[in-house]
Amino acid sequence: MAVQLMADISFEEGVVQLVPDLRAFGRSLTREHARADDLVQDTIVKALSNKDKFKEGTNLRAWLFTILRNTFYSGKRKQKWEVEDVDGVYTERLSVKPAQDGVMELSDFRKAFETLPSDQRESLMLVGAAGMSYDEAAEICGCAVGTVKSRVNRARARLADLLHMREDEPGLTDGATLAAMVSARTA
Amino acid sequence: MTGQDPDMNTDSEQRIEANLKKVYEESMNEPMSDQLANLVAQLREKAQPGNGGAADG
Repeated sequence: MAVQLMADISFEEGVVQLVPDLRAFGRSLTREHARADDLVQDTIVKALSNKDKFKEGTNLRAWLFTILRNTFYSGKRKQKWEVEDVDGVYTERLSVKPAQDGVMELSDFRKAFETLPSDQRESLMLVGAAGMSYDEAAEICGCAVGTVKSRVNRARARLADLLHMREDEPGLTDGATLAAMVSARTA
Repeated sequence: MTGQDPDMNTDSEQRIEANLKKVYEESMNEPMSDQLANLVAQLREKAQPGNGGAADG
């Protein structure tokens, strides 16, 4: 959704229109619904207090996503919110059994997605779901375009492994096996 | 939304992307916390013409 502020759309209305996107991006970072809403709330408060720094006619969505991301990582450093899945806790909860008809449960996909490191989650979500270009995602993440591409590719490959989405990999995997797979990959 | 990622060319990548978009949309529509809902309501009110939003000029 492109929200460009024009004379007839206030800054506040633009922010309101983008709240669903902010919640989805926040959820992908925090992996928890309640924390995501707290993060969006903090983002909006910061955006309002820095309203004068937003340049009218530029991309409000990217600006807000950047604030949200910075707020997330700032909070992560202070509160040690996020613990990456180094010990396979998330993965141990994951038991993916691909249906015989090939239809995957969305909850299984979400669980697998949540085992990814935060840098891969954000890159994949921005490019794959939020409709951002690689350039926009790189600007939001504060890194090079090539870094975003690399993260997206690694995220896709890992999800394909975890969810048995490769054409030559049709079997079933329990949580223990998945944990071992992830452990081997992160070692 | 932009179009399909030109770097995405396999069936598994397309399936991942389709599920990713579903997860994104599901997250967009989850019930909102009371605090955030209140903040959004305040913003909506402020955005109304005559209530101090940028549209007032």
